[in-house]
Amino acid sequence: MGGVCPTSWDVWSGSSNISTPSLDCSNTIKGVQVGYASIAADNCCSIVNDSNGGTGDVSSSNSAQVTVTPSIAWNGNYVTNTDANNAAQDAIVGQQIFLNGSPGGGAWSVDPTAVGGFDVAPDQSSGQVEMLFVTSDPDVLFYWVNGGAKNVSYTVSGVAARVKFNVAAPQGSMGASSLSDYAINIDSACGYLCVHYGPSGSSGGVHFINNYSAPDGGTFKWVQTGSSDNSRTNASTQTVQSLSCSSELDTSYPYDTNNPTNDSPSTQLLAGYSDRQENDSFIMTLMYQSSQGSSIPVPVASVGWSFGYHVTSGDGGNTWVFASKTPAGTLNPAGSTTFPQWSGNLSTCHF
Amino acid sequence: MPASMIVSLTLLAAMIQGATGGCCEMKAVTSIGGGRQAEIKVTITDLSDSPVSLFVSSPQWDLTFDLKDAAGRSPNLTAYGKSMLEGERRGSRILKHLSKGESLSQSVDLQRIYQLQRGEYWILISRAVLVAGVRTTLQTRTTVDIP
Repeated sequence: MGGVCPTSWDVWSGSSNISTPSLDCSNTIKGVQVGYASIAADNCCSIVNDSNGGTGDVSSSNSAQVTVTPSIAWNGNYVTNTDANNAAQDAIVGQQIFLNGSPGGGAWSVDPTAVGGFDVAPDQSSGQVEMLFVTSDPDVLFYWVNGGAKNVSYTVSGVAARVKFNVAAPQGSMGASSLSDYAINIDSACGYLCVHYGPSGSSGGVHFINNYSAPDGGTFKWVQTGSSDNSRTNASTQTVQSLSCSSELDTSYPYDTNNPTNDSPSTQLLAGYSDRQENDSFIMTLMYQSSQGSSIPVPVASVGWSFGYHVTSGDGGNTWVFASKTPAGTLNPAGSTTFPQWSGNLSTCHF
Repeated sequence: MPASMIVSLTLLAAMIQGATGGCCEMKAVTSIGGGRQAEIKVTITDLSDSPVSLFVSSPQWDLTFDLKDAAGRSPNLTAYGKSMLEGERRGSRILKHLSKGESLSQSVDLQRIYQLQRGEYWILISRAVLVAGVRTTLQTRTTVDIP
């Protein structure tokens, strides 16, 4: 080796992508930014292949063109697609995707639908989805919510590195059905006087079934959130109390892990009241959690449903009759990418 | 020993002899956690050939507790306990079905519901199940020793 260090370099004309090679007097040209530049030197420098992809050969021509392109690494392995024939990376919905872009200072672009996380408080008092905010940070962490071909790019100085993912998701459908108004009754089936919607035989008031197959060895879970509007009238004073709760978790997280599952909502009817009305609306979400490490549960399908009643009592709440019943009716579950979110629990939503 | 020292581990199992015959085994285990939780875990196992069903909603409503200290006194309820046990009960219920040999467990932090003082409490736990569609109440007893 040896020779004379380069004495000057010239920007490759016609390009706005400007590399700034560093000349370290050891016959090495290091491209430190994305772009191209030519370098002129006096009989020095050999072929260069540095970690940023810079190359150059001035051994014969006393000049070289340095090219630096950005790259993407997934779990430490370079996955940048250099041509259209490169194989896509396989992933599962909800799997943690942690990518590192190089060199720094670039901008990420991630195909939808992706999120930054899904957080359930240890006491289940809240459940929130983290939106994905891509920054100039060379690291990005996200989870795809739905399946299909997905593209990610990392762009530095107008030059993009790209990687394609094939994201597998559960395949199938969700079913849901409900009982009609005959299943809304007043009796002591709850162990106390109550109005309840189902069950009838082995079926709850509403019935949900998961007909999806898992893309890997993950698990499905049901999560139900809901809102409730209530009023009751004091039999003595005729004072009307109202109570509304919205976007709250129903029972616990998850609601159930069995398949199928159901719901037979009920409300205790107390003495001392002459009127009780309730209108509830729920969203039952089927979620899937991949067996991949550090995965999050993602929504697969959901269905909205509602139920209500109006009961009155002419004897201070000892016996009640229906003024109206509102069963759930026809249910139309569909695929979903909407996470259940809540900031309270319906079990604490009571007078 | 786990980090959360188990101060009391009293286990009583009761075979329920109701009108439907012995359908189930009901076990209750209490433990004191590091955060002062006095957890009681109740497990019901179907031992019969009859279909056993039960509603699952909030465990503090599904399970009924009768606590007595050494002097036979019942502890006062916490504010949360009052709101849950003295107010109107309402909400979703999942109807679950147990086959022979299958179990279902629910846990409750008694300290969240009752103002427990130092000492031992006897606990009578009751839980309704449906045996061949007939409502039956299972019961078992255990103790918890509050340090």
